[in-house]
Amino acid sequence: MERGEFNDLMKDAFKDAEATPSENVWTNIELDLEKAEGGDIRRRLFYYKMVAAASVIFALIAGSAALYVLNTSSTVENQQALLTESQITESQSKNTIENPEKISEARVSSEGNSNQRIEPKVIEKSRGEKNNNAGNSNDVNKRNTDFENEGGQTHKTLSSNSNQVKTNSSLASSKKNPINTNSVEQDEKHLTNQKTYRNVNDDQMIFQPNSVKTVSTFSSPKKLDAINIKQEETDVEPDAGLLLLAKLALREKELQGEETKKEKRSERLWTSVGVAAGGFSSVNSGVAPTLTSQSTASASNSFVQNVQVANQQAKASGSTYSVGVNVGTKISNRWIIQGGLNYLKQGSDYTSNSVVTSSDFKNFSVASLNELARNSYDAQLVSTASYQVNNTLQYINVPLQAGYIILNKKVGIQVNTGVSTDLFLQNTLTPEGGNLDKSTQGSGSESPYRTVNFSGLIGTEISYKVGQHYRLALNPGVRYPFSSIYKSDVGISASPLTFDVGLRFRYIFH
Amino acid sequence: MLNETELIDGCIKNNRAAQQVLYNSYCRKMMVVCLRYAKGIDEAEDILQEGFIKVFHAIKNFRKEAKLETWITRIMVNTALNAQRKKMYLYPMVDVEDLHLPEQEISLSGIHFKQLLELIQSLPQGCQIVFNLFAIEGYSHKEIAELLGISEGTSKSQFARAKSLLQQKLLKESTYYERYGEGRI
Repeated sequence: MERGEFNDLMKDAFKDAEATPSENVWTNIELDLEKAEGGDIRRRLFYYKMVAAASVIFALIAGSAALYVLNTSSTVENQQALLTESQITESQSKNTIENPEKISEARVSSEGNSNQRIEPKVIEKSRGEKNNNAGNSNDVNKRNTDFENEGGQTHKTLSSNSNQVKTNSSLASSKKNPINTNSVEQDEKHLTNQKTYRNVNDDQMIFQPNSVKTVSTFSSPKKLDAINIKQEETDVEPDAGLLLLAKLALREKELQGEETKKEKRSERLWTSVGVAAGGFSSVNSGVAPTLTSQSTASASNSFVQNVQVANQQAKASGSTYSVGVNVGTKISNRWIIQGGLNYLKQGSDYTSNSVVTSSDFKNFSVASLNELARNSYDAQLVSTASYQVNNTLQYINVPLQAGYIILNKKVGIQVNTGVSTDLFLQNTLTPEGGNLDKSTQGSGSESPYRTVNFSGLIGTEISYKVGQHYRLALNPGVRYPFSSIYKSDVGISASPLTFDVGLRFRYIFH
Repeated sequence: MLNETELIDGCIKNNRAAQQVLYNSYCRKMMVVCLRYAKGIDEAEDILQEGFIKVFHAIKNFRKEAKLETWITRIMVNTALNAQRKKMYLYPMVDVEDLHLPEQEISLSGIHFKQLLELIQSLPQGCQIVFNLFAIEGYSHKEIAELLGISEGTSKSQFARAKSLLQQKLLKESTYYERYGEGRI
């Protein structure tokens, strides 16, 4: 026998050969395909979860960055405001202060005689001079002050060369040595009768516009009390420098208050319209154990089949769409509250391999949970070839959410959470093919769906201000019903987890 | 009744009804293919199940250049080979001595394919695979060697052994029929 002939004989022997596999094979294939589709949905859910997580992380990072920038900029603004204010004060003051940076130096005053008008005048800092206090080389400022005897009695001038008055700037040092220089010592005898010298803490008094730390010491009026002022002689007139500092602190406080009020006033009330789309999964749903045990024990074949249909319908996952209007208001600087009214539509497909018939076998309808609810699991079922059924649920949602504003600038970031009251409108079953009629079931006793249900909501809102009164927002969010969407007596439980991304257009009233 | 294109489109859309129709159309023929590579019905059904799942997942890649049946058969054979490869790891295929049976004319005309299946299933693992690939699927020894990761010589010797064993068994069967008739079947 030739090899080719043998092969041909073999091929011919199997040419039209057929063997029937057991029915389990298709059942297993179907289960595997269902599982794979479930896997697709899980992958999609995972994708949505990742999007939501990324949004939250982005919101947190952006919020932190914004807060940091906001704090820094407000400090600089305050500094600038203080500078401006100091300049105004300076110009109004009788005292002539040439450089605002040296305002603090005007604090050194010496008075002792009511007849003497003292005009503190900053001449120049001369760091590193021989009479600099060696122990406080960075903090010690030398000040030369002209003292003018207003009464024209004795006119004494302490010039930088001859009469140099130096304050001891070390707060720690309690030594009362107002005059450190040799030159001052020369005139000390003349001055001690007329002047008061003070030890002032230079760390607190020196005004450094570029130093946030120094400015912050001015922000609290209490700090002023910390200024160590020691009078050796009786004060007659208040210190001009201290008055200036007090005014600056008050002004800063006013500015902060105005800023806070301004923030509180902005975007206090708004309304928005929006659409959202996403998907939902009912992977956690199932037929109640009591029903499944009945199905295996004593129930009829049609009962078992109906339970299968119910299970398929309850576990179906699909897509969701919603449109709605919202109104929101700011209840504090960072917290908002918003509510609205939405129309929600959820669509899913499931496979059925049976139809429900009337007793005379003339009318057929889709095997569904609606039929189960109506006929209490005794519906007369007829097996058919598998066909797809589209189940569409319609709801009216009344959401109420609290939100925390992370960032409220041109770009806004907000985290929202709350509850939604879901009012079931109707569900529509559309069988594929056209042999069976579409059926719609409204809410009520015949519907397997709860008329009122409550869902938890959580989401983020990333918005962009497109005008003085408008914002465009993207809202990724999650919705989860607190209880099954089916009535408890139906014996099916399903709480579909919904992920959607909404687009909202916000109009800001004020 | 759906034509083949509609059926394929339906399967691509994951339409369960279309998938079931496709399965029903080809499952019996494919079961025979799986039986040829398996040692029993259970193993064949496992291959069939896995093969059809692959078919439904990969049907979007079907280019319609080949016949759908040929494409599905190829998937079944590959699935069967994958299943057998695991066994081949345990029992590697080696060159075998030819049994040197006398060449004898054998007629398959009186033999039902189920008997033939039983004979093929009774072949040693390596012989069974090579025999199927060479004699029925029409692969060359070179292709078989590449497919199974063996040498061409091994493929040839395995086929020769398979053929000899089958001839021997068929001879026994035909002698039996001659003696006792076909009532046994």
